[in-house]
Amino acid sequence: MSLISTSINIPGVIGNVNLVIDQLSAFFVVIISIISFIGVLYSIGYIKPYLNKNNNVFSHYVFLGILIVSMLLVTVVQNALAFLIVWEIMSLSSFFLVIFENEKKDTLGAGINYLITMHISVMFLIAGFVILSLKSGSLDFASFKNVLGNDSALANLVFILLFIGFGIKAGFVPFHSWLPRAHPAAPSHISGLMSGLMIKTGIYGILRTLSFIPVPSLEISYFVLVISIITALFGALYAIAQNDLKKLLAYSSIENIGIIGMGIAIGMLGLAYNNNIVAILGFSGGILHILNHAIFKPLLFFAAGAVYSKTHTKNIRKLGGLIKSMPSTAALFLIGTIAIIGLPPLNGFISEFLIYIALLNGLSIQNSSLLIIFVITIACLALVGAMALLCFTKAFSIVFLGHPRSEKASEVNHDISRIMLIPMAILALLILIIGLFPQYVIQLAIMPVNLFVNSANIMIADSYTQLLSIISLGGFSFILLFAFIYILRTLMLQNKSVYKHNTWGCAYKAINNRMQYAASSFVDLFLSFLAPFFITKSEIETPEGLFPKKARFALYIDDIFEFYIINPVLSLNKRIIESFYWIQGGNTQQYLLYGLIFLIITLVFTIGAR
Amino acid sequence: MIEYILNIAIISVYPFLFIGIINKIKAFWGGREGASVFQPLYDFIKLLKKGEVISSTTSFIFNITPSLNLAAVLFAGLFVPLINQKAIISFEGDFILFAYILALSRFFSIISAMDTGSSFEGMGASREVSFSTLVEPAFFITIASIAALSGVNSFQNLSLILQNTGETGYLIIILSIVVIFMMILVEGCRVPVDDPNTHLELTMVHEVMILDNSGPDLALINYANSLKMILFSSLIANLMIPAGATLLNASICFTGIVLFLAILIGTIESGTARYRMTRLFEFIFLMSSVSLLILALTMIAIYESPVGVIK
Amino acid sequence: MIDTLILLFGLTGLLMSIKSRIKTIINILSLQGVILFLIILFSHKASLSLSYLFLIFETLIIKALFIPSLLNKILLKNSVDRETEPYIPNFYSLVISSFILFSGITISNYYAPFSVNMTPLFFGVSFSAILTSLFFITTKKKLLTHVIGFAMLENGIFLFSLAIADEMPLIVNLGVLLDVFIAVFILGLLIGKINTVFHDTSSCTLCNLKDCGCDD
Repeated sequence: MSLISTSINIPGVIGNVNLVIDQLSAFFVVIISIISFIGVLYSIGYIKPYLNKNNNVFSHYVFLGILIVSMLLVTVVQNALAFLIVWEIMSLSSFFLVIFENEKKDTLGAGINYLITMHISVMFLIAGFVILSLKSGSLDFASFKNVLGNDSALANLVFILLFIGFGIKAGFVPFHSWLPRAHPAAPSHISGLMSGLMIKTGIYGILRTLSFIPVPSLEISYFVLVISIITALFGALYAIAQNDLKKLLAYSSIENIGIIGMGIAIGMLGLAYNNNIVAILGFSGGILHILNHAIFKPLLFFAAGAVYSKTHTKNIRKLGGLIKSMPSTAALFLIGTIAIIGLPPLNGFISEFLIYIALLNGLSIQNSSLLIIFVITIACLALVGAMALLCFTKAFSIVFLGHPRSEKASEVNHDISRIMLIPMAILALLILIIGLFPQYVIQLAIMPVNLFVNSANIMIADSYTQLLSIISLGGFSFILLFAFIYILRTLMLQNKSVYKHNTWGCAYKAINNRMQYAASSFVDLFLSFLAPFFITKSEIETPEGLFPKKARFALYIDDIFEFYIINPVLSLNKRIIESFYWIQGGNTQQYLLYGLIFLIITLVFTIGAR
Repeated sequence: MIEYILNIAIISVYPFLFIGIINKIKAFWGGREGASVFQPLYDFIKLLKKGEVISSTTSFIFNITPSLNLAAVLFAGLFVPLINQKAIISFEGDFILFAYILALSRFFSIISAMDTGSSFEGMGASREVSFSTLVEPAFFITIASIAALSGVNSFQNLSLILQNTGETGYLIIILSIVVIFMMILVEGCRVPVDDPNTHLELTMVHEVMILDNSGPDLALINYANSLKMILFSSLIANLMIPAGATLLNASICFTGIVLFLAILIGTIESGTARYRMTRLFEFIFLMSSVSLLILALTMIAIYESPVGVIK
Repeated sequence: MIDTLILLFGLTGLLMSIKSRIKTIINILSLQGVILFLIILFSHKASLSLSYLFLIFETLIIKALFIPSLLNKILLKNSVDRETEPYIPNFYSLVISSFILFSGITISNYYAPFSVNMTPLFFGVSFSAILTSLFFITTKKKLLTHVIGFAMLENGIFLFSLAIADEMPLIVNLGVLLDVFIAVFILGLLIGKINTVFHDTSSCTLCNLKDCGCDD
């Protein structure tokens, strides 16, 4: 396996910057390049309505270019200081992209929140890299590998610092609070690229850190596993409760990051227990899910953007019946939905299947606590999949099916332009290909695993490639079986009468469009048992009088981590800082007085020191 | 060759007989004569000959769902060991594909119900999706514990557990049978989860999701539902029949167990009403509690016995 | 056989947390007594020794028949019928009880090699039965269910003492004495006609016993 490498010498502190494309970087470079290209293609159609308004489209595209280049550089740079510089460029350019529609106050607030959170993550990254470079004496990634070999306490500390830093970018709970604000605020092509690619650079960072550590200790492996399970469950749960289409997709990204983290954690546990099969399968499951998520999440965001561009609302309570007016968008959204839930025969199933197989193989490791933990992890993964099913049936059916719930939805006449449909169709085609031919795609996903598992994984890959070809055969046979039964049934209906009528309404004559199931009622039954995990605020105006006219009810759901952890810290911070407000009196003479006092103190010190 | 014919007979004939026997037992407890045991088969043929009425609100999803439903259940049946204790296809992790392909069929029935834009079907869809979310972890914990105990990661292991005798092994089998039986009640939509007789609000789960289906589509949906119940019953049967039984013994035991399950379901349906919604969630969560017990017992079985498990 | 019975005992603990009719809870309590009787029957060799006969009498008569009948009498006198407002909804108490049962068995499995005679199932289920009954008492409001919870706690302690019976038969007899205490307690409730003092047999009114003016 030959690596592509070159090196640039920047005089000064940075020194020699090695740019190396090894297996891990190559994987990410491929994903970033393809998906960014598709995203830019989509944005051509999406940005058309904004060309006439005041928004600065030119600078938007400049920043988009900078973002894509910086994402590519992040995966290639091997020097710690240069890495931080490129990382910072990535965060800044994405900030400018998020606040594209900055005439809305929410957008600007979300953008600032995002910027500040990214700088907190950089703080942790700086801490981790400083420790590493002090220990190893140079800034190059290759030298870090030798440092962490023997000292496991140092390795744990460095890993946790870097994990928190990269985890804030990736969106692990409890560092996730920027994600559900920034993704809905950004325009849809940016949300798609951010969700599909940018948070994966956080995962790249975690994997790169892992490659510095030869054998991960048990503590950090369990730490990553527990955080990933909590992330996945939390993301799925909150996604169910959302009524804003893009916020729902943002929380679903958090859930998928949790699943990727689970795969990585299982790989780490395999390495810690010296079981190569579990390690290889766990890592390849997590890495394949990176690829899968990078394909179907942008597809879903682009379809949501298409719906927004036609109806000008993200509130799914006002939509409905769009499958009649936007059939292609609906069909593509359906393919994305089936993929994200992880149902066969599409690609989401393959990565989750690999993680399950890794867990099942791990059951044979002779350790009683591992048995319990792995079976509970299997149950949590199943629960996450079932909750994702709930969430996306709600999203798809309320937005596209049934009757339109407001004029915004019923006034849509025709589908979006082809320039926006073609990128989505390419993504859907990729989903189908990966789902139906997994035995070839696994060769691609297993290459980065070489960085972590030293032994020749060729022999193991064979038996599992066979397993995947059985799955692929299964996928084809299922489609054939379905086609066969459908044709039989259509043949049976040939000469019979088939006619259309209204939906049966139990002989009620005055059915209107509001009498369908609404978004919150669909999930209310499930969420009623999980009420302690949400902070709900409701505003209610009850009807009064004999012939009530006005009544209103609105329900807002707050993020529990924000409410209990972040907000108290922020308000404490604010109180501490507010106690120093008296310093800034606003009076020029007061400031001159400060200068005078400072001069006097300096004089006293310099004279006294002699 | 004979096994082949027997398996095809099971898939094609048993589902109708299962529902027929349940209805006959309900009639017996109600003091009536009841319809013939073959009535579901006659209904199936009658529906196949009819035309269809399609709601104007629906789209292509409503059209394709019944066929996809049946294709999914038939495909899932390929992995379940039937009368000869061997599935048609079996590989490592096949029960994951089994569970997920049934989830695919559930996904499409739910969106097809929401497609009609009717409030009845929306209610059924909402309830169906909430129940099935709680069932998934219980099923996976049970099957994963059995996989850990027997060392084989597929449905083939069901009949292997009996070889690991010892009281804990029997306890695990009995508890697993209880869990899978409760799954039949939930997935097949019988009392106390759902009443298949009516579609009033009290009992609206599955029966109401198919209100707007008619003709051959309805026939396919009913057949797929009863086939799902037969598949789960054959899981229970394979847990009870030891490996290596002769074909004659295995067939008699299999048929006997399926018959007994039908009678048991019919008796439960006659004796209980559908539970109140909150009690129903507790009932479904009880499945997860029992499966956690199975996990604890598996841990005791593997790490206590000096001999270990079969590998 | 014993393992099955122990598991059945653990399952009754789960069932207790979801039933809300007090009559059903009392029936489950007498079922627990019968299970304890069967456990003694299967674990010891039948003999005519005094301690064995005493144990049989104790479990079958007192636990399975006497105490539940006393409780039923109290139930008839008051008009409470259901425990409809526990502090925690039934669903959560089921979740917590099953979690207690699961972790009890799991944790006791870790310490299994250290104890020679006790199977992890025995120890785990009895310990979780004690914890579950304490949890049961904490989350219910009515006085009668508190008493039932206390009887359940005592059943759990009895099972626990059976687990180490081979080593310390004295403990078993001490457990029996605890039963006598329970019986006296319930008799006091019945005869003392507590319900005529507190008109609603809910423990909220017991708060009035608190001393006011705690500043001094």
